[in-house]
Amino acid sequence: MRMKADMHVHIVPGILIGKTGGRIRRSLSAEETWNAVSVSGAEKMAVLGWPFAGEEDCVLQNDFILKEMQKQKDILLGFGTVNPAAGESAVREAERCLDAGFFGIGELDPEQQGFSLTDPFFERICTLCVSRRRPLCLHAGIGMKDHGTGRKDLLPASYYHFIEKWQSLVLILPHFGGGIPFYAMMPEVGRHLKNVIFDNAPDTEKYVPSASECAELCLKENRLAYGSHFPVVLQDGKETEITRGSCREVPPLLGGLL
Amino acid sequence: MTGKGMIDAHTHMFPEDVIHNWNAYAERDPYFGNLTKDSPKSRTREAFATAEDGIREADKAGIEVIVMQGWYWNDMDLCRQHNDYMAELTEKYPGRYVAFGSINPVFGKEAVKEVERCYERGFAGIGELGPGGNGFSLKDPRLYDVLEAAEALHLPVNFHVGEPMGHVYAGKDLTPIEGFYDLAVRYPKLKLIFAHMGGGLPFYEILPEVKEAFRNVYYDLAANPLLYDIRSTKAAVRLAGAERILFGTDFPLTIYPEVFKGQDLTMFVEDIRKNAGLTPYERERVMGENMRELISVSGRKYPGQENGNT
Repeated sequence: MRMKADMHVHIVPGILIGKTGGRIRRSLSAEETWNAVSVSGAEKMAVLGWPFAGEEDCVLQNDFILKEMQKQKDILLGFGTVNPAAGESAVREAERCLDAGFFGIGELDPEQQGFSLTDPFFERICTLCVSRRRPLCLHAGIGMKDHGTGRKDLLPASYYHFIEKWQSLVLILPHFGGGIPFYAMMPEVGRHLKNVIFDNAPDTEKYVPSASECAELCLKENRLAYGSHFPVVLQDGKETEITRGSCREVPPLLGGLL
Repeated sequence: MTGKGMIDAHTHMFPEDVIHNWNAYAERDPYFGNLTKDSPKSRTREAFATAEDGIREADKAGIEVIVMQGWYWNDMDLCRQHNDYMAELTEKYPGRYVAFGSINPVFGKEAVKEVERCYERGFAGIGELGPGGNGFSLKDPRLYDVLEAAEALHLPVNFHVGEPMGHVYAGKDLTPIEGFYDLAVRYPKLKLIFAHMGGGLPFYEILPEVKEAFRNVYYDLAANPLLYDIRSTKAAVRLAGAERILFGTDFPLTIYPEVFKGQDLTMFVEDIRKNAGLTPYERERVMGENMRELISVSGRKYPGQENGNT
């Protein structure tokens, strides 16, 4: 299906705003969010769950998104979030989300939520997504600065091992996949990325204007989705801006799942 | 140097004694032996070429200047011996061969002295430094000493940089690439060349803070056909700008092993000309102008130059 969609927005219930580390300041309804993001030309928006560490917070948020989905059936694609570190209950919550009509699972964040990419419960969630042919969105931050917190290695290597192992999983890696698109130009890597979609949502800062064009050059085919990351606060202290007409067509791999 | 021809920014020319007595050198420096042995299992091979071979292949390809990168020897005497050989070539073939010094920071003060000796002998830079091959981290104070010596003498520094993913091959350096960002931040005035397309670092220039930190960083294309699709040349140009990409081959490494296993400098030149999609301006910068400016950065006269700058 050819359509334009904002594949990366967040809606967080008011009670959980304080647990986003200052990255989200407002609890908005789907309608309020849509009013802001549709300026980009989007015909739909994917609402990703915030990767809370507490499983009960994930459930609360999923319920909130589900309610909003019911109010905005035609425009909202919901993603349910879970914390695989919670074990069996996370797998059950992922099943509940997909049974309820969520489009996919995510955004999960191994670093923030404290789970490994080889965690058996996380692998069961991956298996669930593969069997239901639903996408999984895994946070992939991009950046080089240490910020004095003892920076970990960049993501590409560890994520690539995961991608190699889960070839049937439709994976969405936001924020230009932490830099992975460049390696799509290595033939043996490119072959393994056939089920991976990236988005251009700003992570902590804005990109240079040519960023999406450069990523497309690396990826060769349309596997870059538009993501506004609204209403996340960036390093400059401001919420992400929505530029009129900036929305892109959904990559065919995702469009086929709509 | 006429200042008009193409420049290969990344080759390796070994002393003939190393070529003829490979076993002895491989025993003396096992890392060198591992990287240069002719194994039927490896897809490519590190071939050897004499100075005359290099000139012949450069002439065929239309390359005017051959920049010799040093080797990451784990033996200080071998660094000196290799540097002496490269100095001889620059004197024997003025304007055709230009040298970057073999430096291993692990040797501390001896390495710093060698940087100064290279400068006195007219070298245009130092490198290719090999963190993985020489076993030093990018936070090693001995590396800082070498870089500070290079910076004081206005010598550009070439680093071997590996990709964090993809196929494994002899010489793949798994030093985390974010460490190179820290170096660029630490030495903003030092001209740094990150070889082999910087292991993917150009992509991070989509972040303004990285682009700013990398304003004195260059990327060379050495061995690119073994690693990436040819569209990567255009992608690197778009990411970093045509002014910071350097044509380089890694000669005499065979970089199109499926097509030809002998000495060659022509195929990569032709591949870029026909398939990379560069504009005439981009091609001119990448194929020679950028390196011409870089090797003149010390502002000194070196063999083959009429004046300090080309």
